[in-house]
Amino acid sequence: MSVTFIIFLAIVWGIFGLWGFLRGWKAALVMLVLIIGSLLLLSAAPERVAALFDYVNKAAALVTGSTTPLINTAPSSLVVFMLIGAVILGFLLGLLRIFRAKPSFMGFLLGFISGYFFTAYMLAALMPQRAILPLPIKIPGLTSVSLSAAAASPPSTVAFTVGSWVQQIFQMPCLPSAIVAGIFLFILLTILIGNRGSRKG
Amino acid sequence: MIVMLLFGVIGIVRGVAKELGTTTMLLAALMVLQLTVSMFAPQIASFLNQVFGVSPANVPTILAVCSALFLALVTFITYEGVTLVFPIKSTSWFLGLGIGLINGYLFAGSMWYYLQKAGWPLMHSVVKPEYSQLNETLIKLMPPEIFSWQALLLMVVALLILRIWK
Repeated sequence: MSVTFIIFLAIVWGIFGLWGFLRGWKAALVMLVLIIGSLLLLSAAPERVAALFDYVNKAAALVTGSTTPLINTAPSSLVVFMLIGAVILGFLLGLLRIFRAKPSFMGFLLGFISGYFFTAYMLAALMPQRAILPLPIKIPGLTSVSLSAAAASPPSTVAFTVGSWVQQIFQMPCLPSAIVAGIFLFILLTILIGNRGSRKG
Repeated sequence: MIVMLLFGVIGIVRGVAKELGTTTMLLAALMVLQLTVSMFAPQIASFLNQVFGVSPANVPTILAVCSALFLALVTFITYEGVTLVFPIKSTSWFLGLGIGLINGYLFAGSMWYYLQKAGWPLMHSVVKPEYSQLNETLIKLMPPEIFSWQALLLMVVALLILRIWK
């Protein structure tokens, strides 16, 4: 287990914590609730979530005419998709005025916990050999490994670099659709938030 | 990346209301290009062949160059000429930055895509056709590759409705 890997995890937790500190405890709580909620959903009813994404695949197949499914419904893919969705949604909701609060340590703490959940489950989904963080919510198909087992695993199986992680994200088949949907949603939210601001003068 | 950041800074300075107008025009320009290429490509090819004597092998290059020029012209007009302004009084720098970055992605990403498709005209000595792995990965995520004309039409119509809806 390389020190770089541990530092990388700490940086991700720190980014989440810093965001929670700056946006305040309300926005950080919304993010945490969304992350834990999506994980609980995957834990309690994974087959229903998979069925829901199957509907999305069928709808996308109707529009694009493609036979390959847009979203892979394997547990690890669903975890990645749900967590990224929860973080983006939490970030956007955190911009709303009703969730604004003063910078506080409570916000940092909540953001830090969000960062832990995010990294722990992303590791278990994307790099199972390096999933050293305990998973508080059991999700079928996802497990963590002990620190010693991770250290003993041959380095050739998963050579950790940030590059390989980014590469895996770039190879996700749903990425182009996610970019289009993300841009559209950001524009819509900008108009909605901007209009709210203008009405209040 | 640098062009995107530049657009982001411009977005902060100009404000979100003007930037959204630019986004709408860029999406409309991309929709026109995508629609033209996907529906009228054979007719354009035969027109170029019969009128100008262009060989079929050169048609994609000419189309890509024309697309890049059209996009550059629309971008210039939307920034310097007639500006579509949304009725938003928000002065949030974050929203301006976000929409500016989106404009940068739409413009710089599309130019990159079309110029590469055209084989980087006038830049043969600088850009070699052996592109890097990063370039091959990123070019698949550029706007003309991922935005279908149907999606662009939906976005443009939604934005125009939101522009006039109070």
